[in-house]
Amino acid sequence: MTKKRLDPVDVVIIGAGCGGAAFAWQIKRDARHLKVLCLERGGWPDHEHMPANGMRWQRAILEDWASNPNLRLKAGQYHGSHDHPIDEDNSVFKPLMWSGVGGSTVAWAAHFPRLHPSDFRTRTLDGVGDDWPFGYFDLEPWYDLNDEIMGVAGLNGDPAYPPKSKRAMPPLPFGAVANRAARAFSDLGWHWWPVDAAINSTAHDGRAACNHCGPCLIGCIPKAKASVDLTYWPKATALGVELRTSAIARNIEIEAGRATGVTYADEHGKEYFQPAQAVIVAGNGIGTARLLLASGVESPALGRNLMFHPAAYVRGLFKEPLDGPVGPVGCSIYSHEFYETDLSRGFERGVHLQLSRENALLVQASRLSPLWGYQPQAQLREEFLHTMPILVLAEDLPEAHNRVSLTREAQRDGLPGVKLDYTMSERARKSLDFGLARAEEVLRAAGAYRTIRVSPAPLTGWHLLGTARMGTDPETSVTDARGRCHKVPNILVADGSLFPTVGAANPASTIGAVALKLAARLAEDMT
Amino acid sequence: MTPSRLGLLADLILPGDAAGLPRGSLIPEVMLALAGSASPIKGLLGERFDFAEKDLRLIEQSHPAEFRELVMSLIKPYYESGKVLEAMGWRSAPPQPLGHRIAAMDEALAAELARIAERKRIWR
Repeated sequence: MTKKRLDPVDVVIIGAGCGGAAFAWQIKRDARHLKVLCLERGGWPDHEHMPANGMRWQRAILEDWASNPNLRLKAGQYHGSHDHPIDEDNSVFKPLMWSGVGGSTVAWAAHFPRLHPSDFRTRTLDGVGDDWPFGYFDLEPWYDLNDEIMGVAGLNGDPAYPPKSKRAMPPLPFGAVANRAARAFSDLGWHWWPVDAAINSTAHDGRAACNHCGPCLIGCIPKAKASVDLTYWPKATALGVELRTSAIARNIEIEAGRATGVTYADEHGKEYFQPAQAVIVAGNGIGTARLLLASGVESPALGRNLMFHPAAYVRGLFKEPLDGPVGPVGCSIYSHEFYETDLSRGFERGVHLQLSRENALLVQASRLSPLWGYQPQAQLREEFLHTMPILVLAEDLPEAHNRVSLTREAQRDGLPGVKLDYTMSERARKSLDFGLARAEEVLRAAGAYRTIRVSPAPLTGWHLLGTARMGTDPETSVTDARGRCHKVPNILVADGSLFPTVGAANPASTIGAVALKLAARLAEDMT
Repeated sequence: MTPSRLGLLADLILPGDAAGLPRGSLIPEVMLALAGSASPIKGLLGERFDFAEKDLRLIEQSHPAEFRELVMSLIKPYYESGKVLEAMGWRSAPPQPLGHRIAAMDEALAAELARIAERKRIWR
């Protein structure tokens, strides 16, 4: 099949998610003369037709709006996310991701913490992992800018972080669960704070305030939740960035150690060659590794060191009624009392404790065992509207055997299949157990009469990180500090796969900040 | 299967409770899903005049995947039903456009936050 050769552009970005969107906006802002194009395999999310305004909204969480692409494929519907199957059998955590304009921010919980300064220096401070090639304070102005564009509801003054720029909106309301949990953390003398949420607590930037409907993971009809299709992309396209949807990048063409452009296919399978001076890959931990491996980019570290953030949670049961599935699921309060290393605990690095909210009734019912008969219905009676969950995220550290690799099977999108291999380390298990014990203490202090551990929690694999890591040594890293592939320097990476280590906090804020920083540097180079 | 035996199957899977949670056979969407189902479990039960929970447990053991699929196909319309949602203390209207009311932060917690903010930094 012959490929149509298109007019060249200066920069082609692959992937319109968190990293790709921030990169596109920043490079065009700094270098208006550059022709910038983004290729996105999926389509635009349709906020008017998301499931939360219909009676099948609970079913959507399990089927066509499931967070896991394999479950969405099984349900047979796409709704804007152009999914491909992922062989996840050998991974403790199942990948959760969205492949369309906005990337996984379309279906995320919008919890928006930064990493700590120590997270950039784990080798120096704690003798584990690797130091990043830059530090928190190098990234700080880009964190601030990313916060400004995304719109953050929160509260300044948190002693868990260096002082931050003024939060654009006050924190989201707490609800009964957070009020009760906050008192319990305080009774124990432990740190807690309202989360930084990329959710409007008041009308902001042309978007409405959150009305606390609950199921953030099936999209946000009022557009209160920031997703980059609503934040970065309108600004980027207004500057002149072109965004081409239903465009599946199949290969980065490389000649004599330089990328010449990208071969992509449209929705009919017709192939095009898009010449470009620089190729930016922003498909996150799975998509980026898959495309770079399929394109023959050589690096011993490519695809390796996959990190998720091992996750587990404890559910506390209360006699008194609580809120149930009301309010943003991932955004109320958190604690970093145990985030930094204390070797007396028996492991390096720490854990993030995050108050969550109840699942929808059908989701709870579908996860009971036994699934049918009197017992599960009696259990639901006891638990529904009486549960407080606390999520524990542990720091993952890079391990080469945890990886994304290609399979021999070609997929319908014209790329090789992709497989995950991931096991949890003994250190990660210790971290999780420690965090779960602390969560149980909080829940008991809050008045729980019983606690239930769910450890590990397999369907928590949103954070797909580390598979094209930054560093100085081409033997142990894929890119340099500017995101340039060591072997093909005009291919850059701009997403979570760059992370040499991942801290124990959600990565989206850092992904956006890093993408802005790298884009500004490339703009300088191309001007 | 006859309608009465479909009803029996629905009620064994979703028996409801004395506090008002309806039996599966009382939810029309459950019965529609069951009537339209091509599950092989129906075939296995179809020849029996009567069956009880213990019979379903045996079939579940011998055909776990098919049985689970059938159960899930009934659980979904059941817990989507307005009657069931209300019986569980929830509301029948979907999350949007109404949203939900949610309590603000307790005023007493503001003093706690001020105390926490005065702590020595806990980041490195």
